[in-house]
Amino acid sequence: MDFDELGLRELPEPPAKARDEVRSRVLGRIRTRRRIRKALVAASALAAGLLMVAAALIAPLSVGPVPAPPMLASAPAAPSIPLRGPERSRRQAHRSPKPAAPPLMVRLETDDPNVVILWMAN
Amino acid sequence: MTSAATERFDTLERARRGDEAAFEELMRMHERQVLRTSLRLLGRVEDAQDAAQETFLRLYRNLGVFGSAEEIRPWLYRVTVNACHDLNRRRGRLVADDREFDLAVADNDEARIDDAERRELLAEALTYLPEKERAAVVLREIEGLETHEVASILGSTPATVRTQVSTGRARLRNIVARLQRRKHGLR
Repeated sequence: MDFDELGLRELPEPPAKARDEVRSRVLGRIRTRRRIRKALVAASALAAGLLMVAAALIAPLSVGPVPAPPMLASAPAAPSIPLRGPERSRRQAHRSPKPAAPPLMVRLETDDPNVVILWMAN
Repeated sequence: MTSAATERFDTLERARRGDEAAFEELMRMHERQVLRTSLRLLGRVEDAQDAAQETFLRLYRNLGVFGSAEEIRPWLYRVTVNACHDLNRRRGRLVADDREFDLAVADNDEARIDDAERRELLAEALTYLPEKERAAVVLREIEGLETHEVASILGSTPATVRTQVSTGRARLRNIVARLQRRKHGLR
């Protein structure tokens, strides 16, 4: 038998029903995948939202160092003043409010009424 | 670009953007090729459907790799051959042993057979060829691809493909004769 007589190209085509089945199976798989992907995206968004809400609720309860607020504007530079004057006045201001303690006085009377010993101490 | 080519490219573009109807159109364009090749390589319609399904799912995942719609056809042949190979391996199916059908068959003792029977025997005989030879014969002799195209799809050289097709032809002729004689009770 000659090979060409075998008629390889005359072999029957797969049935149309088989093609339809394949097409519907593939489209079904694609739809399922899309649904899963959409569900995953929705679940991720929901999880992110829940995390944000939880963070907002928990944050006020936690005691921690409060970060310094951002500096919005800086004050103008202070005028240069000689150090001595203010230093002295500051010292004075520091001392003046101290109340002066009354001196301790001890009076000792002797047998002689004309002799009295006064002992004072600061 | 011809209007048909423009239309095919447009379909590809729409499918890439997620248009399901466009992807279905792409499948309709190529489903005969994919299912026919799978069937010749695997021998059973159910297996061919599984391989075709896998091939089209891979196409869906790889829509972005094509520069033009004309690149789809050879790509599908390659993926179909790979999907059939994977299916065989996954199912642990042994490649039909062709040693039973040695080449020392007398040519003159064939019984007369009708066309339907001949086609049936031929389809069965294909499944007895070694996998690579079968792929070369199917792509070259049934699908009518050029030798260099077959070589490119199979990751081989044109010389190897020519050898595989030539050996495959001889083997196929003898397998058909053997099957025919067996069927008619001849030894």
